[in-house]
Amino acid sequence: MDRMNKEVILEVKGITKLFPGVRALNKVNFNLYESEIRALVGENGAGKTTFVKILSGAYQPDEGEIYLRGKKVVIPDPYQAQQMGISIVYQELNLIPYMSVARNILLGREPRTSFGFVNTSELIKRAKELMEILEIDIDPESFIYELPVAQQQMVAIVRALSVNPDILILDEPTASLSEHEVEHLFKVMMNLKKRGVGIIFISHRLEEVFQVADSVTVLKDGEVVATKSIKEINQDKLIKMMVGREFVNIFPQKTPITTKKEAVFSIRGLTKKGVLKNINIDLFRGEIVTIAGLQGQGQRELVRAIFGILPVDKGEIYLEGKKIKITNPRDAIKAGIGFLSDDRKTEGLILCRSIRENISLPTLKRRGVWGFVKRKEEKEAVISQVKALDIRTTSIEQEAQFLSGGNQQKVIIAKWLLSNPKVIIFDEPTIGIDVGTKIEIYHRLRKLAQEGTGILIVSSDMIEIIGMSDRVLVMFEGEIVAEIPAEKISEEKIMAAAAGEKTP
Amino acid sequence: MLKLFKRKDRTVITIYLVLVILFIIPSIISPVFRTYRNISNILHQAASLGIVSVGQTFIVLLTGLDLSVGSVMSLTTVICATLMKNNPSMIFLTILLSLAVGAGIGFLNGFLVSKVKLSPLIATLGMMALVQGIALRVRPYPGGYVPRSFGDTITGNLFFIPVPAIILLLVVVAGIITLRKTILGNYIYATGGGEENARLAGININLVKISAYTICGLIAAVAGLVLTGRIRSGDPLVGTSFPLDSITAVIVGGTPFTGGQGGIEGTIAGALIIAMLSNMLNLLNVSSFYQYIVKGLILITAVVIYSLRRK
Ligand SMILES: Nc1ncnc2c1ncn2[C@@H]1O[C@H](COP(=O)(O)OP(=O)(O)OP(=O)(O)O)[C@@H](O)[C@H]1O
Ligand SMILES: [Mg+2]
Repeated sequence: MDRMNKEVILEVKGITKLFPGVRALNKVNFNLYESEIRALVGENGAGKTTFVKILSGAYQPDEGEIYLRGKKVVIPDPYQAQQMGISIVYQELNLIPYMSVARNILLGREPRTSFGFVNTSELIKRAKELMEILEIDIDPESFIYELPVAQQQMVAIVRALSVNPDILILDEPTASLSEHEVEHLFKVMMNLKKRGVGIIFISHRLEEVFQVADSVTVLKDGEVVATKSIKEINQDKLIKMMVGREFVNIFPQKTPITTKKEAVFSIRGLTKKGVLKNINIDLFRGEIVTIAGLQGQGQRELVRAIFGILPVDKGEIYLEGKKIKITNPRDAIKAGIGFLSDDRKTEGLILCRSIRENISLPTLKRRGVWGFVKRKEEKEAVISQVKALDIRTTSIEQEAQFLSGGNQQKVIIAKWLLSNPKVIIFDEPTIGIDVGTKIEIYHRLRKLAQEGTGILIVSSDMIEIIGMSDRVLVMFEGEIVAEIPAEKISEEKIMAAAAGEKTP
Repeated sequence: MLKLFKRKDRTVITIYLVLVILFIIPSIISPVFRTYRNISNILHQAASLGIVSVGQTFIVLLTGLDLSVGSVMSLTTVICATLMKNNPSMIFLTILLSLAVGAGIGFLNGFLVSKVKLSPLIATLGMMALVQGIALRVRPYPGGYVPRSFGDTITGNLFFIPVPAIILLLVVVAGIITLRKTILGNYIYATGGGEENARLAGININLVKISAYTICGLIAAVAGLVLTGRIRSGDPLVGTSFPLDSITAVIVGGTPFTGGQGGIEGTIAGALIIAMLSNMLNLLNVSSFYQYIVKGLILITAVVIYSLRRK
């Protein structure tokens, strides 16, 4: 990139941030130029979120200085940050669930009537205009909690942009977006770039980094490893800088089923009016099946129906040939089904409790005697999972809320792996997880499959789908419209089916 | 020094420091305060509050609250003073009956909160009025009496330790073991910390809630029995101040209203602080409405301090 005649808008010198027991950032230096899109990458717990939270005034650094357009500043809180032209979309979104989209977008900046009340019609109009600029089609009067995560993400982005920032920070904005929405977001970013806005973009999907960023900064254990122009680097080099070692195979070898096909898990005629249409799935021993499709085609509802969260109108479920009845999650867990939700905040982690308690929760009863917890056994089991998935924490007694986003996701995965289920249903399992751990998880899942666990994954990550699946089922409007066997899996095939083109 | 401890332990340690300071200062100033008699008096007063507060902790951990504990205590005194009155042979049966009634009322609370999905405030407010009504129907005015043997045992000493304090200790230990060591206890923390999460982890949250409310009702009856020993009669309104006092003790003890964190360790210090302050104000002949003001101030101060520290 031609930096010669561009102004430095942000200069960070020697920032250090300490949390009890960890040095989250150590003497970080960082410069951002006008019209620059800078990717910030690194392993889970490397300090990316901590760094951008310092820039947004959410945290105060223990050491170091920040300069905005050459002027030294202190950023005392997020409100002031906004005034200084720094706008951020947090990893955990921070929208208010029981408020409308419009109110969330203009929170704290609501248009008023002459009596000082909120001018609701003006509010909705303004929110609509803002969304139109970004070509986003969401009803401004709907409530946040009613929206799928992807749309919530777009609302958060609209809110961040509504203040016309100089510097825009996006902490893993694409984690829950579909490919189409990602494209859209990138277009928006390119437009902002033309207007001179500097953007800091955090992502664990490296292909996105190469697609949109001008330059990339790698963080590792709270320190800057390097900052490179995107032209002088490739994906393998980048991974090596992040993880510190090289990987030969991201995806484990697929294992073609040679033995007789034996269904571990079957679904017959699962139907819910207006949502799911006559779903039939067989999960054979040894294979990994993924469900693909555009967002909102019923994938989320399907896995929830299987796990007993969403009641259905009709349909039967068979586990190892025996018919089972699932009316709530308890039945499903008893039968041996593990479910990882894509909504980790309300359906995955108890934030105020420890890592140990979160991981052992579903298996506590199985391990108990006379109603008492076998603490020692529990701890050993938890520690083995924490090690296997490389969960970065000061101790297993650490509260889940103090883990980095990716490490929180690993805790949920650990919880279900520990429960040793017969069938694993994972909805977007690798969201927010760094490359190194993704590889670890892929290998673990493959091994489980080989050992006989039925594995059903819902994913919108095309690379993951292609790399992991023995079979892909594509959903469209609540129906499975295509089944693609391993040897025929390709992006074109999946996309065509996802768009509703019937293939014979 | 506090930095040496983990955050959650620090809260408990702070509250015990406050307790110790509140004990030492008046001990230095007032010779009456530090007499064996007065200390034993404080323990007698603290016992029934301490005991109910243990039960209340179970409920606050589940992000609820139980307003009916006071009525349960009143009803217990009324039951005892009526059934045991001329009939010492009934003592044991009456105790069992009181405990069963307390647990039953708790069970109903739990049923209303979990299955009927009433908010804890509404369910227990209704139950409070209902039980109060029953107590008043049985004994509209304070009266009746309990056999001497019962009263003397409960208010007596065992190796110089007041029996109420021993009962309190037993309840506290049982409560701590339940919360910290049993599966139910772990489930209570999990459900209080995130109900939907706990449900998806396969926990029967309705059963968890019903168990907790039943335990709370049972413990309230125990507190009622201790109280009966002290007043040696039946009083349909004697429990009125306990719901709010016990909630205050729980909150001051570091269990936040948002549930899922904290525990009985802190609650008990909270209860002792409240009892000790009442005792001091009594010694100073301060009238009872000032005592309310003081309690209110402690509650608000504690909550403000906690919320500042969580930042
Ligand atoms: N509030 C906190 N209290 C204690 N430790 C914290 C807190 N926030 C973060 N940490 C720790 O600081 C380190 C850096 O965390 P951070 O969230 O910045 O990581 P990250 O690079 O954003 O990771 P991810 O890719 O998983 O989102 C981690 O070890 C984390 O456990
Ligand atoms: Mg992060």
